[in-house]
Amino acid sequence: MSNTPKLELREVSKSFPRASGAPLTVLDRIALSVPDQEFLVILGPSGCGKSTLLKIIDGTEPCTTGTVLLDGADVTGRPGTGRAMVFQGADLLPWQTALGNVMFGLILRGVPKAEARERAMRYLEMVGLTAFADSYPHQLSGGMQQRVGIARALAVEPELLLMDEPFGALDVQTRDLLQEELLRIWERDRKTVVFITHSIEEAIYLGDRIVVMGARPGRIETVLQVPFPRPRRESIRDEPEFRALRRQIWDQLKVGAQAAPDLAGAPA
Amino acid sequence: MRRDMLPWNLLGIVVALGAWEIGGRMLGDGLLAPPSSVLAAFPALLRDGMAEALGTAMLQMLVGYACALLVGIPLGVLMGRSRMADRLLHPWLSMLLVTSTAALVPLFILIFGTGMAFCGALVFMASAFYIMLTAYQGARGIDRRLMAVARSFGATRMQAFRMVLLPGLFPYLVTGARVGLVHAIRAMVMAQMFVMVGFGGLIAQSGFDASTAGLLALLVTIMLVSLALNRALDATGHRLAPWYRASKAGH
Repeated sequence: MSNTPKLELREVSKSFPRASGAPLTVLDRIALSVPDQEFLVILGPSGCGKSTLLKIIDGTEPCTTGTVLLDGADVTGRPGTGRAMVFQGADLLPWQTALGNVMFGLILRGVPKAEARERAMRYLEMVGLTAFADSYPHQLSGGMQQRVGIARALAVEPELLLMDEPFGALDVQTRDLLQEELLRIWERDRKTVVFITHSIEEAIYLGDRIVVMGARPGRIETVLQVPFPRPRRESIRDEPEFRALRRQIWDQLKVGAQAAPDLAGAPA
Repeated sequence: MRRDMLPWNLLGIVVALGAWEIGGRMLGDGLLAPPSSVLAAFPALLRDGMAEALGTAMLQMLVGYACALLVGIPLGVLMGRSRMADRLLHPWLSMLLVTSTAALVPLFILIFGTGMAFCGALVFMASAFYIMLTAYQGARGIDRRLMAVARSFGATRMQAFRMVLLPGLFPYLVTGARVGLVHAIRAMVMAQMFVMVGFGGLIAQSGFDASTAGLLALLVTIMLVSLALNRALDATGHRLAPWYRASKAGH
C-alpha cells in the first residue's frame, strides 16, 4: 500500500517501574498498521493489555516508548482529535438525557448548541433511539445505553472509532442484536474501527482482520485475515469455515497463554 | 417516599397519636399532655408570640446555615480534589465533626454575647462540618470512568470540572445540605434555650409550667418546621435535577 495508513503504531511499549527489580512490562513493542476503512479487531485474554493499548491509541494513557500516528500525524498522548471511544459500560453522564449525552462531545468541541442538537438527533436516529431522546440513562436498558454510547462517539464524526469491549456487559441476545446493528451502521458509512473483545465469535463476525494478543507481557501473537465477504449475514456463524477459524484462533490463544513465562508474571 | 406507602404512613401516625392520647389521659397534663390538650395550647402560644419567636429563630438559623454552606461546600470539594488540602484540613474536619456543640456554648457566649452572632456561630459549628464531609465524599467519589470519558472527548480541565464534576457532585451537595439543615435547627433550639431567648427560650420557660401541653406544642411545631424544610430541600433538588433521586438510589 502506497498511501499512509489511517492508524499506525510504532514500537509502542508500556511498562511500570517496580520497587524491586526490573520494571513490569504491560505492552511489548506493539507495531500495527490499520488502513483506512478497516474494521480491525484486537482479541486477547484479560490482562494482555488490550484496553491499555486502546487508551494509548485514544491518547488518554501515556506510553513509555513509541509513537501513535493518525493519518501520518503524531497524536501520541493527545486525546480528542480524530478519535472517539465507545466505552465498556457505555459510561453515560447520568444527569444528561440521551440527547444531552450524544451532544456532549460536540459541545466540548465548541459546536454551537443548536447545531449540536441537530447533529445529535441524527445520530440518535441512526441507532434507533429518536423516541428516547429525552430519557435519562437510568430509564434506558443496558443495550439502549450502549446505543447512546455509540451515537455519542459517532456524533463527533471521528476518523477512527475506538471500541473497548462495548458489548461485553450485555446479555447474549442484546449483544447479537447490537453486533448486527453496528455492522449495518458501519457498512453504510465505513469508518476505520479498532474494536476490542475477548470473544472469538464476535471478532470473526465483525472484523476484517483480527489481531490476536498474548499476555505477560502484552504482545501481538498473530494477525489473521477474516475471509467472509461484506455485508455479513448472521448465518455465517453456522458455516464450517467460521468454525474452523474459531478453532484456529482458540488454539492460538492457548499457545499464547502457555508461552507466557511465569517469572515475568508478577502479581498485579 | 412512594405514594402507595402514604396510607400506611398515616396509619402509623394515627396509631401513635392514639396511644399518646390514651397514655396522656392516664398520666395527666402535668407529666404528658395528650394531643388534644397540646392542640388546645396553640392559641395561647400564638398569643404569647410564638410565631414571631419562631420567625426570628429561623432567621438566625438561616444566617449560620448559609455561612456553613458557603464555607463547607468549597472546602469539602477542595479537600476531595486536592491531596494537599486533604492532608492539611482532614484532622480539623475529623475533630470538629465530633465536637459537641453544647460544649462550645460558654466560650461562644464570651465571644459573641447572646444575640444573633452567638446563635449563628453555634449553628455554623453544628452544620458546616457535616456539609463539608458530604461534599468531600462526593468530590472524592466522582466516577473515574466519567472523568475518563471527558478526557477522551478532549475536555479541558475547566470543561471537565463544569460538565462532569459539578453535576456529579450535586446529589451529595443536596444530601449534605439536608443533613446540615437538621443539625442547624437543632443547634438553633439549643443555643436559644441556653440563653433563654426566642423560640428556644419559650421552650425553656414552658418547662416550668404546670402543664406540659405548651412544651409539647412547641416541640411538635419545631419538628414539623424541620420536616417541612427538609422536604422542601429534597423537592428542590429533584426539581433542579430530575436524575438526582435515581442517582441516589443507584449509588
